[in-house]
Amino acid sequence: MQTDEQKLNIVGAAAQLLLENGSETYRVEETARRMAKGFGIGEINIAAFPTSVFLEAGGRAFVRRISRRGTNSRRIAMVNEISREVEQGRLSPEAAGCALEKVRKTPVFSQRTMILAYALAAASFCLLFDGDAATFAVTFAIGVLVQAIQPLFAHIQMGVLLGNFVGGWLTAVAAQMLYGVLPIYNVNAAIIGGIMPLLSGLAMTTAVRDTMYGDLISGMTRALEAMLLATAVAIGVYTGLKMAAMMGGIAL
Amino acid sequence: MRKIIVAALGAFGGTLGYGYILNAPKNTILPASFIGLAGYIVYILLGMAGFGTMSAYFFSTVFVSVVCELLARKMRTPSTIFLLGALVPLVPGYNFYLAMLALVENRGAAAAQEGMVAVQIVAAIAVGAAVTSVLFRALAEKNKKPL
Repeated sequence: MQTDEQKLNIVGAAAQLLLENGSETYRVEETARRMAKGFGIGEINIAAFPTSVFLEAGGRAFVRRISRRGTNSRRIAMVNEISREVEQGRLSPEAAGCALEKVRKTPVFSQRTMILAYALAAASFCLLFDGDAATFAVTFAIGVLVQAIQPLFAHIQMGVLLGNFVGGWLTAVAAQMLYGVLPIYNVNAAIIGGIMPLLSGLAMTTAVRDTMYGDLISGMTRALEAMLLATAVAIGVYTGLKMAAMMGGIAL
Repeated sequence: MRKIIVAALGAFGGTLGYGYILNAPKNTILPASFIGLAGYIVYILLGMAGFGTMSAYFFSTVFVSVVCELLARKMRTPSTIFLLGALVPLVPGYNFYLAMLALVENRGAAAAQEGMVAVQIVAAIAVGAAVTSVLFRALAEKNKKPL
């Protein structure tokens, strides 16, 4: 049997995992309560934000800073599953701790898969904006390029921001330079398709949802993050277009 | 008609690729892609039926969210996982790009106009998704059948 402190740490680990992988705030608090109930921890207090999480039960505290945030919905689904099994008493604290550790180590898709996925997404989106078959092929190539350089930014501070900026810039520049050699496609559609997977309009959805549930601080934080990331893409595209325009105004 | 088929292909492929980018569970990627496709078709049809930009985005988002919530209950997994992927074809990249283009060409008024439209669309999508999920949760709490 594990002590209350260990149980609290396990609940905390679940909350931390959810926040690190882009879950909504209400889900984090709900999951922690559910697991605490399953473990028989009497009363638990929790305050979760996109950047930090605080738990308290019986005078013990669990405080963590969430420094790395991304979106990994597979991990959210796995933690959700674990918390339900705990609630129904089908998972002991030890087993739950091991299961959470396994979630933390769940592999993400390989870079090769990601490149294909990004290129497919970008190329498909250009079809929504009057892209034809040639544009599809060009956008696919640009998508490969943009995703291929993303690992360079994975391990530095503000990496996502920089990755979005460079992604937008590269898309705009590549789409216009290729047009100089191969003027058979729709430049605008290629650029829009290329940046669609970078735009975090969906983070805005989570922001509004958090706000509507009364998690005002989380909502504001997420809205700010979404705007910051979109601005990075915008500045990237702007710089790319401007450079091309200065280098002789390639036809737009 | 041809335009709709091309758009359907685009929405499907786009959501499919984006599902992998989000690291979605493998068994949810394909269903989410079909929802993304259906949502975009609904958006086009609403546009053809004479709905305004905002309401077309709002109602197609509500459609997508409702389908995602129902499917999430059936598959016993958080609805967010479907929603994150299925909504992506509706993101207003087009207006966003036009705003940037206008900025580069020193057309300030046009840039402000397009930027405004992009922000409005994002707001319509966000509110549509949020309203649906809040309603569904309220209903679930009432029925004491959580998920």
